[in-house]
Amino acid sequence: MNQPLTFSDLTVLDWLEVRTAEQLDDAPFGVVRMSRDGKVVAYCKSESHFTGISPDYAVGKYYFSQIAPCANNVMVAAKYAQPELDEELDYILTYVCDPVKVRLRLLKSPGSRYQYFLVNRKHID
Amino acid sequence: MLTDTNPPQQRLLPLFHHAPMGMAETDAQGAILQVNPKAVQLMMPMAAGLGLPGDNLLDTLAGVVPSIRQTIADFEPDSGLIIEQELYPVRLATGAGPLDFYLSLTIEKVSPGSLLIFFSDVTSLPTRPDPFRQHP
Repeated sequence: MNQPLTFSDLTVLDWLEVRTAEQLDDAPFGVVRMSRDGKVVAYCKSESHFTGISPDYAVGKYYFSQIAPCANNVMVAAKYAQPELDEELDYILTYVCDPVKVRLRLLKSPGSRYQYFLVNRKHID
Repeated sequence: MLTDTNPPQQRLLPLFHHAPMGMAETDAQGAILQVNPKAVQLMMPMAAGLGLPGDNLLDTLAGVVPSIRQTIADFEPDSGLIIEQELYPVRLATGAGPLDFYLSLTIEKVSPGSLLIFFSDVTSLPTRPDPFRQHP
């Protein structure tokens, strides 16, 4: 890839789909790869660094009910019921007890085995 | 008896994280200082429905309980319970669909510059909300 990958890149799903779990760490934003029923398949290091949750702990757990219950609502988790999803929104995630403003991108495609939860902390101060 | 060797503050974290009730500490103006996941889960759809960023909990709650700032301002002691488990109907249209639930709300002033706010969606509780405690 010639251009560095950006959070809002239109081709980000294509980029994610061909990466191994380890290669997802190269993304300049947080990446959670889930199975289509919401179980964590890959939890990138930058996300782990902020949350304190290790990839080993996260993988295999239901992301929205067991790892990130703060996003388990109609604004985020329920959106993954759609067969196709590509939506960005401003949100607040909790890290330990601190509220942190982030930009989320929710991604899902009918042709993919996975769905993705992307976190950009650089977007908002 | 199991022995947890973590410091007491750290042992409190799972309780805070897994509480089935929204819990937040704010400053006197409502800016969130500490918050648990359940609070964010509940407050963000309300904030979005009101067109707010969600970082000020009193702004968000005032969108569904308009009297809340005045109630807090009228409370003169430096500390004490301002609102205790009051029920409020929440009806908001959001981009993700309508929000329609009963909010149970407790606000305690712990110092002139600090509020503790506890809230939950009690719509599905087996007991019906007491009509004498509802606020229009």
